[in-house]
Amino acid sequence: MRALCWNGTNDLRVERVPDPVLVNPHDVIVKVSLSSVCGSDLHLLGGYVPTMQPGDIIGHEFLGEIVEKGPEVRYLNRGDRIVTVSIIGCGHCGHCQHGDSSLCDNSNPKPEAARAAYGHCGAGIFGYSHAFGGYAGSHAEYVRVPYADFNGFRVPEGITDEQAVFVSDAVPTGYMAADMAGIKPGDVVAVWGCGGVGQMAMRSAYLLGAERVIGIDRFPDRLRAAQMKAGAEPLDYTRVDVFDALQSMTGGRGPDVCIDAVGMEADSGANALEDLYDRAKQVVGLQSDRPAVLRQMIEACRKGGTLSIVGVYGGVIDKFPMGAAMNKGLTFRMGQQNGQRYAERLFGHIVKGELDPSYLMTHRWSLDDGPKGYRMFKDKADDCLRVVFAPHA
Amino acid sequence: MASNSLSASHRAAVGPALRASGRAGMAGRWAAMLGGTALGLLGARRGGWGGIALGAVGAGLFLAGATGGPLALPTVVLPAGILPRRRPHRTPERTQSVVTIAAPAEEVYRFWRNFANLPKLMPWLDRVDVLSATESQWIAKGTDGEPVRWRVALDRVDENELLTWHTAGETPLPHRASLMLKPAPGDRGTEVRLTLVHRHPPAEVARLLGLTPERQAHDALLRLKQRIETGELSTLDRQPHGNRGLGLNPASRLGGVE
Ligand SMILES: NC(=O)c1ccc[n+]([C@@H]2O[C@H](COP(=O)([O-])OP(=O)(O)OC[C@H]3O[C@@H](n4cnc5c(N)ncnc54)[C@H](O)[C@@H]3O)[C@@H](O)[C@H]2O)c1
Ligand SMILES: [Zn+2]
Ligand SMILES: [Zn+2]
Repeated sequence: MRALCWNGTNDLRVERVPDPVLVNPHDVIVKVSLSSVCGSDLHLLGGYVPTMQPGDIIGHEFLGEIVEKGPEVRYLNRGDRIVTVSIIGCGHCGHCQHGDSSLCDNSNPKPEAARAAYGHCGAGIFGYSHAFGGYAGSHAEYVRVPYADFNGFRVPEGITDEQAVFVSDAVPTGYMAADMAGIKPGDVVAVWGCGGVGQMAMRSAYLLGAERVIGIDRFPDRLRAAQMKAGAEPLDYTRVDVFDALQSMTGGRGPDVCIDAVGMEADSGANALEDLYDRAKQVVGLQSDRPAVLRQMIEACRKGGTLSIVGVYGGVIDKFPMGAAMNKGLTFRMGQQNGQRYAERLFGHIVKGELDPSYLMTHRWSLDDGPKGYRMFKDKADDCLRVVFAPHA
Repeated sequence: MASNSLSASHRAAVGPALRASGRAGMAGRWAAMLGGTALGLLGARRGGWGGIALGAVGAGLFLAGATGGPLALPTVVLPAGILPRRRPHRTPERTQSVVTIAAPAEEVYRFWRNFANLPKLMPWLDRVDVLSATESQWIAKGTDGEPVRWRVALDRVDENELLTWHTAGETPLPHRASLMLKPAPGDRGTEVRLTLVHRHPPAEVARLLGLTPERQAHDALLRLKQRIETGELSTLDRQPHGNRGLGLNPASRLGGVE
């Protein structure tokens, strides 16, 4: 089959690879109909997630049809149209049983690297480096899905492919960001990053009772989409001082909830020296992640407010304003998404018309255009929110 | 929702004075840090800065990148002492591993009590022949192709709580071991503790069996947990991948970014 393979920093190639096969009894093989790029892949492309090996198939946000199933798969059947959560849970360990499947104890076949770096290892993720299990990703014609009954969700009638594919990753990530934050009626929620994840967080914040939602980014098309589609008040961080703007918009209190939907590659464009500082340290290897958004959230957040972090960090950061966080009594929530906990609920919102993620698919391309698609997504060119590949089209 | 001129109207509301006064200190602060830290480090690094790669102190996450392929960005480097380091064992011949399994003790105990099951958890074993109620013969694959054998005698058998055993008779790897089961607090299942005490140092055990006792104990419990909780072992077996960078196909490269 054809697959999009990582071959080094900013080096993606479409290659011919063997088809996947059923290995474990709870596996299914999915024929991929749609597979989306995600901001997380940019960290791989940029070389910020170092446990990649040349030839690794990337991609983790996907939809498809079951073409083969293992003997112990109970609920799913051949022919089912399923969306698969991008982060793999086993469904049985204590974490999975409590809904925290991204913390799964069992799905990462290579726990040593993560254990050594983090103390404990997290779940396996499709196409997301060997520290996260080394699973082959979904930018391919077929993909093996382990523990299929737990990770695969049959898409209800009435939900289109274009809507369903994002229930794999962007939608549950945004929803979890809002859910973790414990939003209360009347809350003002500020979301850093108007990518697919940020926009889903904005929409979810309203669904969970937020009074006002503010979306922060610098790309006019993304700010426009955040406003028109997710109902957020847009804030261009290159044109206003984010701290001042947020205080002014909240009567000097600061937002009750601050959501990070940017992660380790945050740019601090508005503050050139901070940006230079963080980039310099990243380049010499003294910090792996750029924490500009975290610093801004800590400073801007209301006293006693909550920071909810779904933007991905991988290593260590520097100049973290712990004193401000402590003395302002902030709450930090964070994590990789636990989509298995939310998938059915999200289908419900989509069916009722309360949520329609399909607009994130600004481009639908052939898999052969994978390298070009990632380049466009990385450059945020052509108003691209997400490029979705159709490997069989 | 307000008009899309929020940023503009907002700037008007905030006013330049507030921004100037409120934020003026920021630039200075960063300039100081930049000059004082990052640039200094850039210089120091050029002169062979003596930091320790995160990977080198055991964090394979960052190291593996270096081995995995060409990376434009460097391995994360930290000054010694930033990462907590595991203290070396005081008695290297004794190793212990512990894991929590979301299952009742009986289930865990039943699986382990049948020593014939153990090669499923310890792939370095070829097989275990149960000879009697208390005796078994263990045959390991051995690193040089020669099987390594030992006889094992059970000592204590406390149902669902404790198993201890030791090697009996002539063997190149005399050792004793125990498996202890204890209910985990709340509804978390069972805490399972495996202890191995060898007469020889870990390196000697690794030379014969291919891995240290520490790895053996850890890997065995990992597999035990996966088998009991999920009924399978997570794996990348027969998984497709590209040609690992050989045979280039430059036509489809993403070149030119950055
Ligand atoms: N936790 C999870 O399980 C999970 C799942 C999916 C994605 N993610 C992470 O979420 C983040 C966003 O993903 P995405 O797909 O939306 O990515 P994306 O690249 O499409 O969007 C990121 C946006 O952040 C903006 N940005 C950069 N610096 C900023 C700053 N200082 N202030 C405000 N905005 C800034 C960029 O302009 C861009 O529009 C990534 O870090 C990704 O890894 C996490
Ligand atoms: Zn993702
Ligand atoms: Zn699990």
